[in-house]
Amino acid sequence: MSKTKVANFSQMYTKYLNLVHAVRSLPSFPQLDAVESRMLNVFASAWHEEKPITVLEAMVMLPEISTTTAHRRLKALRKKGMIDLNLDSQDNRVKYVVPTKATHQYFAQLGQCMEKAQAV
Amino acid sequence: MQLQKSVWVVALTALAYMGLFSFNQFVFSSLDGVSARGLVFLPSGLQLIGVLLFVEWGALGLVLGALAMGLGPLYAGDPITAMGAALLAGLAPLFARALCVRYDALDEDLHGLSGAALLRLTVLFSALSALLGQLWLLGRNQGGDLWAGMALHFTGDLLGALIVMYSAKLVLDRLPQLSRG
Repeated sequence: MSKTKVANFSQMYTKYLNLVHAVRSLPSFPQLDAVESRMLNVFASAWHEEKPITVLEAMVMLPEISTTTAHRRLKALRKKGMIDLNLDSQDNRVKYVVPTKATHQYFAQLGQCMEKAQAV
Repeated sequence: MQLQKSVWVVALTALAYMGLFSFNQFVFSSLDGVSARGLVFLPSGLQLIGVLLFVEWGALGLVLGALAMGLGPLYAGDPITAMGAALLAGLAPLFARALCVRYDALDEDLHGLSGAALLRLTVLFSALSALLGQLWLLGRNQGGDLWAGMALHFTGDLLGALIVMYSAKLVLDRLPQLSRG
């Protein structure tokens, strides 16, 4: 196979891969698994009471899962845009788990679902 | 050999366009009863993908596919209108791509193309396609109300492209799960 031909196929394949990546990253509502959803619910109770949650606290809020799992899920939730981390203004080593716009939308949607269920 | 590959690209794009166009007519024309384009125009998704991947050869395939479909009952025996509309089927996505390369930092090889940029390109393409398509029809005295026609054309192209892309996303998101069994 000539070098030009290989380069052409390579370019075409690169384009294809880039397009697949773009299609995969199209914005959509993130899907949460059961653990992530449970973590968000626990956080929501604290947020509702206006209690700040540090990352360390967040990792032990669900006693049924290990801290490793909790840490992984925190990262997943952050990647999905469902939580954000804010640095403490006094101590940069402390980070707080805070809700995002998507978190508020998520709970608003759940609230609407409950309202509809009650109306039936 | 390069020419042979390009011929394949043109032929496959044209066939895919014709297939999707026929499917679109079968599924949606009975629902809205407005026009052959209707409120959902699935081939617009193919127009975007074809031009992003194959650029001018993809556009040529789209023109030929649209010409084959357009010479049917769609333009009621007016071959000039059909040819113009077919030409725009290939030119509109090509033009939208060129504008994004020029003003939205779209890489020729699509490096770093994000989902948001793809959505911007989709909206731009739908708007251009609607504008050019309706202006052409108006020029041929077949347009009717320009704004209403543009709104319908824009909605159809946008919804069609979004349905195609989000269907692809759904399939792609499922792929790793399938491979893990």
